[in-house]
Amino acid sequence: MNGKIQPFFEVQKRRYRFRILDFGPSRFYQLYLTNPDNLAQSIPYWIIANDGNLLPRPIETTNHRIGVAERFDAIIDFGKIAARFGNPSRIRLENRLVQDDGKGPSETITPPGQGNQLLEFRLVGGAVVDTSFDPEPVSFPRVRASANDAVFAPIALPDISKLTPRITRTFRFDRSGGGWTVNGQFMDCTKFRFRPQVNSVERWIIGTDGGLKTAGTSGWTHPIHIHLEEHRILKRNGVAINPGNVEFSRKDVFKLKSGDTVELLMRFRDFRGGYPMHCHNTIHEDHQMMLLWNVQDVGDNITEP
Amino acid sequence: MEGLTRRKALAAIGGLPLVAGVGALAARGGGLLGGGHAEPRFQPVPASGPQSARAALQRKHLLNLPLVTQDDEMVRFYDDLVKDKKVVITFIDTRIPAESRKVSQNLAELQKFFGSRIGKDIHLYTITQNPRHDTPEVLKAWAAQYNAGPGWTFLTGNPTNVDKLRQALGFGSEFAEDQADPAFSIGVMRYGTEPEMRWGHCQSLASPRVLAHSMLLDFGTDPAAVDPPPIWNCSKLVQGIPA
Repeated sequence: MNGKIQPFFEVQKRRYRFRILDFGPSRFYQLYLTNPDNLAQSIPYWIIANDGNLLPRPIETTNHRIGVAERFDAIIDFGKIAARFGNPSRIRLENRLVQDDGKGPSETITPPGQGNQLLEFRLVGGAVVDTSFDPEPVSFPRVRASANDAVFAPIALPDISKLTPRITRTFRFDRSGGGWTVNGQFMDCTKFRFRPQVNSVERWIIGTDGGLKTAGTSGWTHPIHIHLEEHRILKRNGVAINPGNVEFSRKDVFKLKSGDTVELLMRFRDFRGGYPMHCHNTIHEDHQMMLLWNVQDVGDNITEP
Repeated sequence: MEGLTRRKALAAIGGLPLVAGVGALAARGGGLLGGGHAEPRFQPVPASGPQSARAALQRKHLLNLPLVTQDDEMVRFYDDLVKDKKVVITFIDTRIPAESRKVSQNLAELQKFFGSRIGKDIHLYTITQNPRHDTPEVLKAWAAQYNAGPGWTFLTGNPTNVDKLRQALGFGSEFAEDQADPAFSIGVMRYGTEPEMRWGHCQSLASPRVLAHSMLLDFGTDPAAVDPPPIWNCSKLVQGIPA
């Protein structure tokens, strides 16, 4: 954690905002707050931002999964923890997601206290005055979320319902002969694979082995990162991403488990020129699980670049 | 805040996040290819006896096993082929022709790219993973198809030794689906500078220009010094010349 092994951090009994980045290279985390002196407690926190942006409405949760290069901001309210959970002297940030190899996480969640103990908060002092924003009363799912929420972020997310994609492109992140491929091709840094049209909207369908056409079951998870503009995820495995979901937001990197398919909307507004999309598992990135595209005045119509 | 979008707000403050992103990318591209490295970036590790890191790496990965060249000469892998050299290592199997042809064509292109350096400070090695079939005679005929010059050596040997070497060099895989793929090792290219203990690998079946680019980064040479000069420049592409 910030270069230290299992550090501790003395906190007052008030709200703190933390920015959490999965620094990689290959591990996925599912983060819980654990009271090591009472493992039965299920302690909530509030997610208020992800990747580059504030969420339209805070989301209350007791755990959150984060993939390589993803970020989220959480408010932890040590005042409420002291009041509601028996005035504990310490609370730990714990990863309970089991991941034993580089392919990606299992779906196994350890019992509380048996995961990776990442950081210990030591609650010190008495009650303090806290005038900071309290996300709890306005948070989802206590309060219904809607597409035009602007509860924490000062402005709502843009309405994308009326955007018409100029083209739908499909990308399959896969593996061939021990090398990483996108749509069956290796990275070529001398070649742009497709050309979006400036000021247009495109729908991208991004999958990994088993998710799109191939019968592969190699079981790799890839965090996919797209440069230039942030995108909006429309569907994950065919299911619409709705308000109240952390992925109902601007994103620039997302988790793609083996067999997953993500449908998203990209716009190309500010810049012409070449940009990459790549797997952000940095081992895969270093081995060029990547492609380049080139925003120009006239786009092309390649549906499987 | 009516009418204000985050996009307009960003434009009002100069669009800093997006501009910073582009700058970082450009700087990275320039850093990769900009300027020549006359001096090695890593100093050679002195081979100071069996306790040295270099000797430990040799024992684990650069096995000094006997091999036979396409000219029927007996060589020792470490002593004769790798020690004190920059090397590029690939595997073929002439019974798996599609992948083997592609990787051999790629090495033939690298031979052209690196020109007179091949056989002097850079050595190309192609080892068969099927020594029972790929005898020195078979390899000699294969080498001739790709105009292999001095400095590009084809190797076979005792099947057990060849397999040990293939595993030790990292051409194997821990995953069952890779082990079930007979062309798996052919898809890997390993390159390194032995005295500096600097080793890398990449997909052998990618574009030869991409392979050369990967190697140039590790071999620490200004691309402009290569004879003939390469025609590509990735940093320029990333900054966005039209396709």
